[in-house]
Amino acid sequence: MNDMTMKDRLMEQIKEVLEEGEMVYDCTEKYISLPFRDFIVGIEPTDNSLEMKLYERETVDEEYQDEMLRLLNFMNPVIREGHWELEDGERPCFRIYVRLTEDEGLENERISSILAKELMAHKVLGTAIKRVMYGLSTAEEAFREAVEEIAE
Amino acid sequence: MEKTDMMLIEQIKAMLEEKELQYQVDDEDGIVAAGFPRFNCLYHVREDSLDFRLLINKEVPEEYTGEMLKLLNHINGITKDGHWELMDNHIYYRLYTNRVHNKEVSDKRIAEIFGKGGVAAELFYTGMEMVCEGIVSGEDAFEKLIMKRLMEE
Repeated sequence: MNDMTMKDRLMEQIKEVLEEGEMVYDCTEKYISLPFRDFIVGIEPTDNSLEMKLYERETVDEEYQDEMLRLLNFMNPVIREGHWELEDGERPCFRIYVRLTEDEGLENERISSILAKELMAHKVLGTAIKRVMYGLSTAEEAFREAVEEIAE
Repeated sequence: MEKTDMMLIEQIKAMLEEKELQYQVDDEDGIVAAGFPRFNCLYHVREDSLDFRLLINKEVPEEYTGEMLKLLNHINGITKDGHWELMDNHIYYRLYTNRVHNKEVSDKRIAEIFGKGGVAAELFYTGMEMVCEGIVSGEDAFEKLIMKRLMEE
């Protein structure tokens, strides 16, 4: 166990957390992914960081990309940890990056809370993203509706 | 304010003093702020986190906010720790450090946070300024100014 690198240790911990939560995941040597219907969560531990990324399965057509950027930017100031961005200019993606020191790891509880934040981000903004993606709402309308839903 | 919070404020002050920088402290709210010609930055010591915020001293005219959003989105694509956002026509860089699971934030991390914000602000400033003035598009600012500078460095 002592010979394990930080990355290896994190890999094991993440799997443990996911298995405890009975979550389905795919795993390579470097990367863990959780497939959901509308989005995928990708988890990448390294020796000095943990990155968790939730990205939509669908991309945004060029005509709605500006409006999507505005929607994601409305959301960012109200989020404390993590942020939304449009990956490659076309795919809505929520990213949390945790910098780790050389000798400290993360508790399972913290890994679980980062995952919960990822899923919560989509719960809050998923519908708004779809509405803007299909041209059904402006960024302002979609954001307002998302805020009202949270308030309810 | 808890003892660990007070200690963290002292650590931040010590880092700024070491760099011979001027700062203001609001002990009650746990804020340490420093001003520079191109940006202002502040550390906010909270019970569950250490929040760092940097504000670029330049307002983005309404007509260029779309281009600025494109530029910031490009920059976010290459920024790992922290992110950039536009709020009320002002550009912010924000970096969150969790304290629930680790009450102590190392001196190294405090300096690193400051470095990331400051270096990024200096590095991206020209591109941001030119987008603010409508001289270049967000796309061109990123590809022709920022990426070029990053390659040179």
